[in-house]
Amino acid sequence: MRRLALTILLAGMPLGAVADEIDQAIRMHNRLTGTPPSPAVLEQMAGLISQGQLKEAALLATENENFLRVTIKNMVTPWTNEEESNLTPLNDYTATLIGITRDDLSIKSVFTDITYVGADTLGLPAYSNGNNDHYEAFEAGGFEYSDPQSFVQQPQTLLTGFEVGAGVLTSRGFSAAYYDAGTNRLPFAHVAATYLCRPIEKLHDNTRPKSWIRQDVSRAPGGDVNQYLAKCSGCHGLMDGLTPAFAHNDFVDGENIYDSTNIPAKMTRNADVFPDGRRIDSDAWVNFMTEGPNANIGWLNAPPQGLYQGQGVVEFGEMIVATEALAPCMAQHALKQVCLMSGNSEEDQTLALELAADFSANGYVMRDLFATAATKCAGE
Amino acid sequence: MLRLKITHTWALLTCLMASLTFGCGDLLRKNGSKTVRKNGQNAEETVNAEEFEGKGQTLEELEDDGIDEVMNPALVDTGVGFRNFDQINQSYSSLTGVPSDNPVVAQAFLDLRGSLPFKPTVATITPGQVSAYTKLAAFYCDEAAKDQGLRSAIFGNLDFNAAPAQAFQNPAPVVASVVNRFFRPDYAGLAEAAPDLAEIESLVQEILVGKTDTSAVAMGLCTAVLSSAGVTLY
Repeated sequence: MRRLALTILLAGMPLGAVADEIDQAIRMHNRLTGTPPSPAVLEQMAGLISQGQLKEAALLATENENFLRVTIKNMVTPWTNEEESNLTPLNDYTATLIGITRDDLSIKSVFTDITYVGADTLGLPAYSNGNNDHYEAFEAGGFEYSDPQSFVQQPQTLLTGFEVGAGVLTSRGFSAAYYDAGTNRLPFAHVAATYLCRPIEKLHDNTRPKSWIRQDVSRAPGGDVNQYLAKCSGCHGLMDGLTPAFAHNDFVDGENIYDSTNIPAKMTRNADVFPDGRRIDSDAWVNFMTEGPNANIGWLNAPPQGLYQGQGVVEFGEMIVATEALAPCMAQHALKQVCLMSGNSEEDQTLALELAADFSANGYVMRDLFATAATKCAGE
Repeated sequence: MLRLKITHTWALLTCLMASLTFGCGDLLRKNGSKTVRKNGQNAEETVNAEEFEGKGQTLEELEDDGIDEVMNPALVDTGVGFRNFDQINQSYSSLTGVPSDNPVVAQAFLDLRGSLPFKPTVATITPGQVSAYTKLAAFYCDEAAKDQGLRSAIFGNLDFNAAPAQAFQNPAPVVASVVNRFFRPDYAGLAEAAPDLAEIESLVQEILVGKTDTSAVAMGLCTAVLSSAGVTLY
């Protein structure tokens, strides 16, 4: 066997060389689209970079279809399944994020009454609450997300027939992943982790009220009340206050369900574990995190005094996007995707805050965020 | 503080897969030191082991997984990554000019999708994933060769009708054409590229042995460069 001593190349950069404008253009295009630039785009990007216009060069790269098809899709797809796999098919959750990015809408519209579908002219199976055929056919057909004639925005309620449209939160993709069985606590955990970058275990705070903890939570697991007080209540106290927001959502036998007249049995299951616990009888919710360590999430819609209360999944979504944590969280996602940064280091977190400031000042537009992120790891 | 010398184990498949009509497959490795570019800047050839261990998996755990035999874990979080299945498929399409919905490459991608990396993490690359990169590259090169325009764009003026020894009598122009297409437009002219060009030309000489079909040699060259780190790392 012959051993080939080819020098390792990093994104086309010769080792030891200072990155020139061609290196920078290639790197930024690679990172933003997952693919190298065409010679024509490379020339344009290098020209912009030579004039000091890195951001403009990055924005040019985002016009490539693969910015949506590869980069945004690969970021969002793991959010749409519990296994966090990016191998799963396109669905309405992923499509909504891709569309919001393409149309330069604020990321805050992610929980509003919109979704994205293939155009009627494409001859795809109709959107359905009961299957994902429409999106799988769109993906299999190789249609372009960047083509506004092929990939179009629609009011979500027009497609689902639901009384409310909370965007991703009432999408079938989200429903299949997070409303299927369980007790509808998982949706909150996903939203907190993905849109606030606060995994549920990091929210733990057992100093807050425990009055909304449901009947299915043992107050003395294994006979140890201290276990409940020290551990269980720290998450359930917060989570069970908010999860009634999903009281009308369900996913049964492949069907995405929202029924304002019904509260699924799963929301009140195992009531005999602690009958004196809270029984969900409406979609009214309360946010106990406005005080304590989780106040640093920055609940911008919270009243100046008194409980932060709301009703239903739409108001829940409005609460999430009206947080100071949203922008740095999205910036962390962008840095991870574009710059392959773990986000764990102090340096990464400082950079995320810097990007977040630009992101919020520029209308929470994902394309702009990703382009700015790419300039931070383009080389010098 | 423990500081580890970065070395890497690298794999390149230099010939085509046996399932195709030409060439052969062989997993080649190279050990050596390298300079890591972090965030576009050259970094020291050392890594802080404690920093590395903070990324979720300890060196010992990786060694237990046998990862160290595949890729030195010190490359974790260096700011570079392997293209995932979608990225490499679209990159091969872009570089060769073969549409990703070409029936042959589309089927190959479907067959290989699960074998290609799905995360960029360098430390978790496996020989199977490197092999999948190479197989997919071979299909793209094969399809590109069927199109006169794409063939010229990749191989320049290589005379496919000539006998291999004659066609590759001076391999420099075709090697330059291929690396300029796949790495960067002026790559062959860069002073730093000289060792790479010499190695690829040497590889061509090796592939030539016993070959009677110029296409087979050209496909070996195309696949080797397309599936090399210059393309798969980004």
